[in-house]
Amino acid sequence: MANKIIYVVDDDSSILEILSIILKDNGYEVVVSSDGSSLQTLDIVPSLIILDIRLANIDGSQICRKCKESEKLSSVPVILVSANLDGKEIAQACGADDFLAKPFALKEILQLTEKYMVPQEQ
Amino acid sequence: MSALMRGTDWSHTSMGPIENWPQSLKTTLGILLHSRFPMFLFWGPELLCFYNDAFVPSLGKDGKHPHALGSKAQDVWPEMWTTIYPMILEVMKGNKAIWSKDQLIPIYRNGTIEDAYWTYSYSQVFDEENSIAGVFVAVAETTAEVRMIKELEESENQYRNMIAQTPVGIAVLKGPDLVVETANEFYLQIVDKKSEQMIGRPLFSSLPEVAGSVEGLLQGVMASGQPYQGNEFPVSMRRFGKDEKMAYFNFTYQPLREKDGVISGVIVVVNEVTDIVLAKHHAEESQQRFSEYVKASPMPIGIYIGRDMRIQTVNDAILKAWGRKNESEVLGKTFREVLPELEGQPFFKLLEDVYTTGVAFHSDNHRVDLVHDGELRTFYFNFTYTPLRDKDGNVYGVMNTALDITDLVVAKKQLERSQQELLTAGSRLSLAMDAGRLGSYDLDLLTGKMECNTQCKINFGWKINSAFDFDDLLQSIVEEDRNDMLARLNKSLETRSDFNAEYRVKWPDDSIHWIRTYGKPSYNESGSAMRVAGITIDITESKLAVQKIEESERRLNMTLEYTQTASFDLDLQTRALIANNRMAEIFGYEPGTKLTFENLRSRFHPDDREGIVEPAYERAMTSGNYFYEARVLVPGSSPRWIRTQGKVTYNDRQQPFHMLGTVMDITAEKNEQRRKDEFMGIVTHELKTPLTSVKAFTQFLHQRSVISGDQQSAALLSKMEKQVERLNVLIEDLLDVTKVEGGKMKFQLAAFNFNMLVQEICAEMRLITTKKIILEEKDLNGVIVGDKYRTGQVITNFLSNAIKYSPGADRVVVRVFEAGNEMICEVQDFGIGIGKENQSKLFQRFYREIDDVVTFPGLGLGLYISSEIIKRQNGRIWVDSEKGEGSIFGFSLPINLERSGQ
Repeated sequence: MANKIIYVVDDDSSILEILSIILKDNGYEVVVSSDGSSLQTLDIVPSLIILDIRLANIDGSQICRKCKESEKLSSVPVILVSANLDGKEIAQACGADDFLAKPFALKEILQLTEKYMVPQEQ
Repeated sequence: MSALMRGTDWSHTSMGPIENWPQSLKTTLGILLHSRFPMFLFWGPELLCFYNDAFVPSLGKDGKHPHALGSKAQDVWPEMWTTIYPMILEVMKGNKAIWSKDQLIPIYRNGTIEDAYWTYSYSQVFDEENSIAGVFVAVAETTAEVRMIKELEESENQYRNMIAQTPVGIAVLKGPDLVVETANEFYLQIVDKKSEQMIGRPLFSSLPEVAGSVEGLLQGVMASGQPYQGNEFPVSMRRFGKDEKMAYFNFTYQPLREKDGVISGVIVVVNEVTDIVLAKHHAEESQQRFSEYVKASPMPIGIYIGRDMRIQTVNDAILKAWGRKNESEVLGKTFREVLPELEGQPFFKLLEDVYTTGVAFHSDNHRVDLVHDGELRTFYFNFTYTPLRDKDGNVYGVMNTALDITDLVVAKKQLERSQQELLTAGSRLSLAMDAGRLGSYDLDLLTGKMECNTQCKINFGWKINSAFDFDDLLQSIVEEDRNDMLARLNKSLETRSDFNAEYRVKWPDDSIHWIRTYGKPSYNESGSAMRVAGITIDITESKLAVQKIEESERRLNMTLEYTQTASFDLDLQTRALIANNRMAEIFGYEPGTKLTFENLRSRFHPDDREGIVEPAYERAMTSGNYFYEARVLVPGSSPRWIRTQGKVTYNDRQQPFHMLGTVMDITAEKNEQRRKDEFMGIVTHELKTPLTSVKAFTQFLHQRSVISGDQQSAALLSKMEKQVERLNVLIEDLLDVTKVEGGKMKFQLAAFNFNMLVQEICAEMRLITTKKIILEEKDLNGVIVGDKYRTGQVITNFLSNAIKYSPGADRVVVRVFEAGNEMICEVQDFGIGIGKENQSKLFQRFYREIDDVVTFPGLGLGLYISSEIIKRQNGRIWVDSEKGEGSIFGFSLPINLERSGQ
């Protein structure tokens, strides 16, 4: 279980907080970031990235693109999260694996997390 | 006959009783009576007559039968006694038999003497003593046969006479040498030969000069057996004592076949047509001379033949008028083929009318749009269509004469130009200025003498029979304008340019009129101005009209200027463009640039040109309305957005004629819109971000409470969760309205199962209501193409409303069925209902029943958004309700949405 690390990017600290609680509660390790800047420098490779589109200083879709282009992170699934329904199209455009509209239900985020964690173990 | 014979009492005659008759007579009579051929017997010295049944018809009705039987021959045949008695005597004397065929022997029968023909034989009958006792006659009447033959001969004679008298030459030529077997009188007349010069001789020995022309043909007919027909065939002949001369014939050479099929000769039937052909040649020559005259004419002339107006003759002048280079482009083609651009103009019809009615048509100053050098241009002609008639008076074609007066009209049009431009700018005022008001003058500059037409005098208010010279003209001009006019005249003479002036004249009745004049000076060889010729027009009405138009245009321009709006007028046929300065500015050209259609076209963003502007233009041609928003790229500046709105006007033939419209730079508006969109994005984000964490926290706490068994907290947190969800719905509604308003609502079309969608939503709603949701589905496999998410939003909205507005009821009914080509969903509640007077407002934005604010909180946007969603998918939305009785809300969507194009 130790290698099931989820990297969560959101510029809203309370969202980071609740997601940390919930995901840890469900047995995952969580790394949070407000801008995703540590992604490329991180020693470990996360099993899943949950990424908000609208961040304070950077566009989440750009972070997603960089991940998908980088050797290190290209195989890590990315779930984009946004309050805007257009996020679905943005997610498709930048190569994200899935999209979840805010505000999401706990059930939804856990189901989706589960979905991408299973193949990661194989 | 046998009975008759036995019944006769012979004892009183010289024959005595039958039983005493000699055996030889009895034997002979036996043969005779039993024969079916007519037979007769003269017996004894008294030549008593006996005959059989077959002979009776020849004796006729009321003739000699039956008293001839047993009577003396001389008594029976008095009428032919002189003919038959010598023959009887001859046979009795010893000449064994006499035979005669078709002998005319008149006979008395049927109450009259008749000519009858007989074929008969007389032969001897011997008695027991071997002496000649009688004459046996076998006879057949051949009157009928003889008559028939006579008739045949008669008709053949008639036929022969007919051939002899037919006014065609007939000759029969036999054998390889073409020997003339027979030739009728007319043939001999045609070749001017006597019968003995021709008959029995080879044809070409008598007519050596024609061998060259026809020998080959005749031998050809002999060899092939194929008839040959010559039509107006020229043959050079020497005849009537004259030199060899060309003659023309229509003839047939028919092979003459024997019974065994072998061709033995040629039947020649010939008819001389020299006179007709020469007359025709003469006509053609005069036609030719006429064509030459046409060709030489400086005036455009064209001659079209037949109803389809096939061009037979044209001259250079008309080719030039048509903008065509060579005769060969047009000759033999129809007028319509050569000038397809006239389709829609009145000329085809006019030509046909002239051809049909035979009445000439004339028109002056007629506009004609013709393609010159690949471009449709406008010309003006005075033209006439004159019917051409053949010698029987039937119309066979039309002569088109024309005079190109385009220069003249253009000059005239120039005078009208400013008014015209104003007119097209939108005014409906008519500038009455017909050609009839055109005065003309010719001023001799040396003598000061002026010639002018009556209209010119009328323009100056003078009586038409009064003398009116240049001085009178000058004196008529209002003093303030007179010097200006003279200055313009002098300047025109100096600069050798056209003379143009507008001035007021005071008529003898003191009324003031505006005159416009246009003139052309002419010069002698040394370059001095000699004359000025030109036209005058009374433009008073136009001037007044122009003043009015100028005023309205000034206002329009002010408005356009104030609103920074560009205006344009595009001629849809020539694509000629008239546009104001603002237009140039918007499209990035220097003010004052004469814009062309291409100038504008080239400036559109390439994607928008193909994707937006051109489709909009095509649509406008049929719908009449032109509208688009598109990007314009001007080198060196940032892209700008423009909005164009226009109307297409149609001519009286219902063809698109002009497009009038305005163009606005909406870059700022677009930027504003973008900022608004961005702002809405921020609002969304800013509102939903805290909502997201609140929702997550609430759910997490709720879970915890349930696990820890804190039921009170769990119940409160559950309520809190619902409130958060309501807040979320309100935010979504607000965003949707914003999208609808901005036309930004996006639809993602895909096929989906409509029934399944309704089932899913019903299941979701059951989780949040205590009411029974009864789903009645009639048709279960309703796959439609549409936006599933948006459609679901509508069903959810209907169901939420149904639950919300029926506080006392325990159920809601949802019905799904197909009707026609539509999928229909209805949601019925048993709640408070809606009064009829408010039903129409239900789908409006922000509508709510005022009294309900306290009871049923909400923004009142749901139905408005729902109706937009349904309309955008080409569906219908409706309500059926009674106050206090509950409501049925319904919507329909077309089952085949593929072509809805959202």
